[in-house]
Amino acid sequence: MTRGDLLAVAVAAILVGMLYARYWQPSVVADSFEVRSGGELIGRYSLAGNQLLPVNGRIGETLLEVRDGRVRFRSAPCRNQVCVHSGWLAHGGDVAACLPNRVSIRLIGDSRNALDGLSY
Amino acid sequence: MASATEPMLSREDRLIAGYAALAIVIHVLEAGFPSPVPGVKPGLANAVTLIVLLRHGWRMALWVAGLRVLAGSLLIGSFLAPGFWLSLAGATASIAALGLGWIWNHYQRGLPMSALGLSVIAALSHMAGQFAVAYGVFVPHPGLLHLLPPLMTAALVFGVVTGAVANGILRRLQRLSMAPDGPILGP
Repeated sequence: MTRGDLLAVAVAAILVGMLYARYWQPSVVADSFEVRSGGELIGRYSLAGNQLLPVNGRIGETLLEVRDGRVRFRSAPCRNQVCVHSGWLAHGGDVAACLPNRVSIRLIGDSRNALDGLSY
Repeated sequence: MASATEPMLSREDRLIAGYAALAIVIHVLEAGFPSPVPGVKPGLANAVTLIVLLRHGWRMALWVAGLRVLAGSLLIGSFLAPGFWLSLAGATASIAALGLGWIWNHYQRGLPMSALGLSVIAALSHMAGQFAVAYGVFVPHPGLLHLLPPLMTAALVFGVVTGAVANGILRRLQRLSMAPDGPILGP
């Protein structure tokens, strides 16, 4: 192994490390979420506070529940209940949808709320 | 004299054919092994490209790599299928990187790379080229980008392994060329 090899491996390792830093950032905590029904944007709601949010879809009423900065599908009129089994969502970019009822939610995380840095 | 039935083959042509055949066999054998993650395989066939590069130069290495991708895909049955384009993009990127490495070795004397360093830059370029086509053409989904770091890590590890293998073979070839029987595949 020559010094040139060492240089190549070191540069490659740094590059790979940078890729991890760039693409494996911890996900950002969401502060609000968008609700869509039948493709139409119904509204944007805050994740602060606790509330139950009924949404009318194609085949019935879907009930969304917001609690402790998280949101979930509490009940849905569909057969498979995929949306309900998605569970609690809390991170920006998370999505859950009920296809039969055409209701979907998307969490919005703002990087302004993320930490600027950490030191130990 | 060259005739229609027996074209004139230079010594270089025969060497290219021999090396390419070797690379194709490794390529096909490797394709037979199941891989835990799509896109990750050791890439030992590239050891042949490296050996050709270091013993015979960049032009012959280009021929051997090109023939391997073409004939290898014909044998596996992936010619013109998505996997072929990934393979071609990877091979193009890695042979370009090897060309740059070759220039680096020739125009500065302080830090020459052996097959190991060349193998690492070739492996990373191969993965990057492959990923660029996968992301840009086949699956332009941002989620795919999360795969990039582990894929590149695998490329780095396998690049080191392939380079070490190539270095070992090169040392042995060196000894063979110096044996009294004379060179078999000498430069």
